Amino acid sequence: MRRMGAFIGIAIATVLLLLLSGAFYSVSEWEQVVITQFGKPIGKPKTEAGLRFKIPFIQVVNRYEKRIMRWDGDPKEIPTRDKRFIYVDTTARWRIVDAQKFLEVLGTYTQAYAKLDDTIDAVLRDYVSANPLVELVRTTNEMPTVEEVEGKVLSPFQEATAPETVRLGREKITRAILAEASKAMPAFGMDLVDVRIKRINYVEQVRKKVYERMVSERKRKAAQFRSEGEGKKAEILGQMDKELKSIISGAYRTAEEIRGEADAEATKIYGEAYGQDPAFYAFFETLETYKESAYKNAFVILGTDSDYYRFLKTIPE
Amino acid sequence: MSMENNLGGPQEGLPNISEVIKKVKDSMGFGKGRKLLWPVLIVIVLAVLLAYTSIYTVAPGHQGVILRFGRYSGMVLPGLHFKIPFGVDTVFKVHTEQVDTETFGFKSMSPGIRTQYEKDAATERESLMLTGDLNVIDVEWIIQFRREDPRKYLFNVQDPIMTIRDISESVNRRIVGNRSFDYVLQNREEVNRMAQEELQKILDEYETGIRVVNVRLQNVVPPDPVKGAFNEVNEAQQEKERLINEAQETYNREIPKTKGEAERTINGARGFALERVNRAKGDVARFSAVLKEYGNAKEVTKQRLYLEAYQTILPSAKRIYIIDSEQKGLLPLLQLNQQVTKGSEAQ
Repeated sequence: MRRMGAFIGIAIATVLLLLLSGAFYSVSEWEQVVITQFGKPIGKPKTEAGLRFKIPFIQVVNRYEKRIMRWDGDPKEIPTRDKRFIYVDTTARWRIVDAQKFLEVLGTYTQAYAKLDDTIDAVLRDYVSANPLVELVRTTNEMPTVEEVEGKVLSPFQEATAPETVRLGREKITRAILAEASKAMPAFGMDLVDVRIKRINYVEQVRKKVYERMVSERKRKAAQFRSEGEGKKAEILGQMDKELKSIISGAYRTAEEIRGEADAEATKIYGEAYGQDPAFYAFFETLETYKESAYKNAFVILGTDSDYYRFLKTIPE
Repeated sequence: MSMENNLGGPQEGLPNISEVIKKVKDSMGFGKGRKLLWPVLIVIVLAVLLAYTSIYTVAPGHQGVILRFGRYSGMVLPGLHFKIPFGVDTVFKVHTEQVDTETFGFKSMSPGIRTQYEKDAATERESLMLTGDLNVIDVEWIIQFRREDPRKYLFNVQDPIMTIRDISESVNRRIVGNRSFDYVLQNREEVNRMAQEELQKILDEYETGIRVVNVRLQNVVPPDPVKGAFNEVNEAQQEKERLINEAQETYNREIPKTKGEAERTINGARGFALERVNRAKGDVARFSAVLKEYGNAKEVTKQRLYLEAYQTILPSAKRIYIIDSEQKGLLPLLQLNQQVTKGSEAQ
């Protein structure tokens, strides 16, 4: 009998424990909970974390995220208004703000993601095809570009693609997409926190064309550099020739001037000295030149009446 | 991934429990006589179980976030701690000091070694972006971040790492999209700085509790098909510089040389001038000296000078003919163009 009693005691304790565990549930900091009774939501969604009570077995706990969640779209091929085929990849942040509505309208995350896909893609498509590519790439009109510093920096694209003006810009367009897509969200108990264009690029075929353009522009730049090099070289060598001529002729001129001055001075010195007795100078200098002139191997014919030989003929008295 | 280690759920280490129970059962069947043994064992087992489930450690650099029935109840620092077991308290450990790295446009093959990486279609899509002048550029970058506020990190965003990745891609493309191709190539630092500021701002708006330590562009290059043409430009630029250098070199060689030659010409002229003037002075000095003597005895000096001149001239002459002044018709006899060897002429 005592044994039976013990068994019954254990059984009752077990059932009680089960009831208790079915009656309590905890809500985490990142969760919100909707209690449903036979599929029907009961009371307000529980967004505060902590230990809570419900009717065991009859009421069911439906847990949903309270945190910001991620949505990542598939890349979409969309032509822009200026007929450029690009693919656009967007990303969004969203959260459940009304868990009860979320449960009633969508129920599962899969449904929610499908809804986000539809909504954001449609809005994105509208905005991309309504704007030229440059609006989606650039944010402002002030685009820092490279200053062309002579002989240093290369920026071949500046001339090729003149900066088009941006009317809205990427930031404003994404803001508009967010605002537009957000309109549908309250109906699902959701809130779009942020929508951003993650990636934009040309589709494969267009990208090839762009690459070809980039290549040809670079080649043009290379040719420009080469001819600039040749030009600069010719310029330097030309300058050199000019300077050489100037140096040589300048030196000639200076040398001649020095010589001239020396000649003048010598002449002046001679003149002053010889002016003292021009007759004697004539005699003296003539004799000097005789001495310096070459008489080697010469035939000298002199008369006996010459002053030098006159004594050969007569003895002076 | 280190994520799982850091976040790895409730800390309930229950090793060897089945073995312990088995041992207890074994001892039960063994000794029916020793009735005291097994209540003692149960107490021991319960004590061990309690210890296992209520003691935990937080490693250095980590912080523990305690949830009591799911509700935040406090934060613990590294060390040994107790908690209420049986699922009442759960502890989440977050490595707040560790700096994690996310790479974009490439994958690190072996973590920590930056040089080894590979590129495939997926990472290429990540790194190719449009510049403001609608060209395509290949930008690879890394982000380093810390989980600064574990509470925010755990409670506010579902997948913080993917959020970082998404936002960083968006931010970098926005910045690159607002700059020209060449500007991006040459101004990484500016892009780094702006990307970090903007990323941090958005992560703060989401309250992710993440601190971006560093955003750094790694490779910023033209896309592969364009690289060749880019190198050509570089080569052309090199060639340009080479041509200019060569010309400069010729210039630098020729000009000083010619300047030297010019200097020599001028110095030659100076030498000539000096010589000319000195000679003149010398000549004049001599003349003046002779003139002075001449003034003393005019005739005699004249005679002497005259004779001295002959003294100098005559010895060097080959032949000397002395002819009487009355002699006529001399030339036919002389045969001036005759060979020297002949006859009786005086030497």
